[in-house]
Amino acid sequence: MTFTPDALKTYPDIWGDKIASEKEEDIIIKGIEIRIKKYKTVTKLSGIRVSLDDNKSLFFQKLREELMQADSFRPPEEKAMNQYSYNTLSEADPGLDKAFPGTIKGESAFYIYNDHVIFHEESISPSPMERLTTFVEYYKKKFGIKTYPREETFEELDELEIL
Amino acid sequence: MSVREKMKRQIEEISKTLYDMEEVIEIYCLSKATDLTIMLLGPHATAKSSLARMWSKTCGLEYRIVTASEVDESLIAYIDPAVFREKNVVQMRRGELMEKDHIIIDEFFMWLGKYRAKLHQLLEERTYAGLDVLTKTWTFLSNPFSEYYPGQIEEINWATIDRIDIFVPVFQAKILPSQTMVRKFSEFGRKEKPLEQVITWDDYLKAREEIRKVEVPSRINVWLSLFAHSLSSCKLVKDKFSMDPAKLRKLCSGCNENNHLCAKVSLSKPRYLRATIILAKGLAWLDGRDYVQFQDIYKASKYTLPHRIVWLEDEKTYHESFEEVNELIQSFNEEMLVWKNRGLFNSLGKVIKSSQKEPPYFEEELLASLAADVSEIHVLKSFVQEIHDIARTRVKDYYLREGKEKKFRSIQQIKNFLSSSGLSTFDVDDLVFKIALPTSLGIIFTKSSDNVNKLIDAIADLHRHRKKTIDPKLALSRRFEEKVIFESDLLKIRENERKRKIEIVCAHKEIAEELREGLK
Repeated sequence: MTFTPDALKTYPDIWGDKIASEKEEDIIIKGIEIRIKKYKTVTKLSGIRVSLDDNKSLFFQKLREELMQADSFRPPEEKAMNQYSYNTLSEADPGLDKAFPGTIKGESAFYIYNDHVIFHEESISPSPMERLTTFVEYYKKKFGIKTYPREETFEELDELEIL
Repeated sequence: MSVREKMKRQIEEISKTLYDMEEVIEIYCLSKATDLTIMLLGPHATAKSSLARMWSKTCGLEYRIVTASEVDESLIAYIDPAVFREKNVVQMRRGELMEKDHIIIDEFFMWLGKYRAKLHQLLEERTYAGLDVLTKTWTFLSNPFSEYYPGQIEEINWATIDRIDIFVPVFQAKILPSQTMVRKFSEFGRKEKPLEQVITWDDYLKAREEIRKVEVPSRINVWLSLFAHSLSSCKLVKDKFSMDPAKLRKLCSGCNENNHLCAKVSLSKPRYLRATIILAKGLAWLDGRDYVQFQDIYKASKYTLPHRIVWLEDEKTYHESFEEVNELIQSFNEEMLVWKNRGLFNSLGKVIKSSQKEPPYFEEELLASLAADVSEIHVLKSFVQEIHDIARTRVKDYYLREGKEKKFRSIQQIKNFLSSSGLSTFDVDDLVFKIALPTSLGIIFTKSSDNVNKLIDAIADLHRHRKKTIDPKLALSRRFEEKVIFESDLLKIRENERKRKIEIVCAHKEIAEELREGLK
C-alpha cells in the first residue's frame, strides 16, 4: 500500500493526534538501552514514543514476538489501523493488569501504534516516563532478560579501595 | 594437560551422562576446587546423588552416601569398645562421617537438628570429639520443601543455613536432552554408563592453589562490599537479625530510605562475601583468566545469595529468591549508576588519592560536601564517613611522623608545616601538641589541685612579664575546675583526661623555659 504525500501528512503520528515537535534521547531503564522520542502534540499534550524500528535489542525482538502472539486477539479494526490497544494486549496477557493496576480504574498504560509503543500524557495516569519504566520492568522480567553493566562502567571504583 | 583442562574434561565426562546440567556440574566441580560446601536442591530424579557419585568416580575418591534414617552418633565418632574393655579408657574413634573421602549427606532436611549441628561442627571446625576430620569434601542433597516431600524439617536457624556456602537448584532436563537420555537408557538399561577417572584429588588441591592466585580488582572488591552492605545494613538498627521481620517492616514503613534495597531484604554478609569471592575466583580461573570480572560475581551470587536472604516485604521460597537475585543486582547497579553519574565515586576517589600522595592532603571541604550529598543514602553515608576517617588518620599519621623528625623552633613553624595538610583546626591543634610535646617547646605534668594552682600563678606571671592581658586568676581558677584548657599568643594548654596529665606547648623555647621555672 502506498500513500500520497498528502495522505502521509494528514496521517496522525499518535492515535488521534499529530506531533508538533519531538526530541530523541538515548536512555537506559533497568539496564535496557532505549532510544525514545519525547513529543509534544499540536494539542499541547506530551508523551513518549518508542520506535520498534529504531530499537532492535533483544528486548525489542522479544516484544515483537509478543505482539505476534497477541495478533490473534486483535480485532480487525486495530489490524486495519496498525494498532494494538492496551485492552488487546492485556487480554492476550492477563499479567499486564498486575503491572498496570490503575488501568482497571481507567488510567491509561500504553498502546502500540504505527510500530511505536506510545505512552501518552493523561491527567489521571502516572507520568509517561513512570509508565515506560513499568513497561520495561514488566517485559524484561517476562522475557527473562538479564542485563549487566559493562565491565568498565564502574572503573572509578578502582580508586576506592583502601586497605 | 593442565589442571584446568583436566577439570574441563571431568565436566565434559559427567555431562555425557547427566544431561542439561553443564552449569550445575561446573559449579559443583568448582565448589570442590575452592573448598566450598555445596547443597544440591531439587525434586526427585534430578540426578543430585548421581552427580555427587559421578564426581567422586571421575576423580577417584571413595564416597559414602548417608541418609537421615541411618545417621546416628557412631557414624560421627564412637568410643572404642575394645580399648574400653581392656584398659577402661575412653578412646574416641572416627566414624565414617569423619573418615571417608567424600561424604554425601542425602535428605539433609530430614536430618534431626542435633545431627545437623554436629555436621556443621565438622564442616566449620574440622574437628570433633578431639579428633581431626579426615574427610576431604562434603556434598549436601535435599528435595525442596513441598508437600510432595513430607517429613522434612525446614531449617529455621539462619546461622545453620548460612554455613552451607553454595546452594544450587537442580531441575529436570528439557525435551532435547531428554531424547539423549532415552538413548542412554535404551543402551545401558538401569545401569549407569561407566565413567573414566580423569582427574585426581591432588589435581583439585593444585587447582585450589591456582585459584587462590586469581586477582580481585579493586572495583570488584568495592562493588561487592557496597552491595552486601546495601542488603545487610539498616540506618535504624545496628543488626537486622536481632529484630523480628515484622518489627523491621514497621520501622521501614516510616523510614525515608525505604525505596532502597535495605528495606527489601536482610542478609548476614560475612559468609556471603566469603563464598562469593571464592566462587567468583573459581569461575574466573575456569574461564582461563587470572582476574575476577563482574560477570563472575553476578554468576557466583546466584548460588551464594538466595539461601541467605530474608525477604522483608513478603516471604519467598528459595526458588523465588533464586529468580530474584538478578533483579536485586540490577536494582543495586541502577543505584550505583545514579551515584556514579552524580560524581560521588569520582569525588571519593579524589579524597583517597589526595590522602595517598606525598605529602598527603585531607580534602575536608570535598568530604563535607559529599557528606551533605549522601545524607539521605545511609550506605553511602557510612562509606563516606569511613573514608573520611581513614583519610584523616592517614594524613594525620604522615604529618605526625614527619613532624617528629623535624626540629621546630616555634609553634608557628609547626603550624606552617601543617598548613598544607588540609586538616581542620581541631586536628592541627592536636598535631601541634603531639609534635611539640616531646620537644623543648612542650611541658607535661600530672594534674592535681596543687599543680593547677601553681600553673595558674605561673601563666599569670608569664603573661604579666610579657605584657599580655589574660583573664584574672580567679576566673582561670574557676574555669580550670571544670577542665584545664587555655590558649594565648604565648602558649596552649590542654588536659589529657585519660592520663590525668596537663599538656602545655609554648610559642617558643624561651617561653617554655620561663614557664618551667615558674612551675618549680
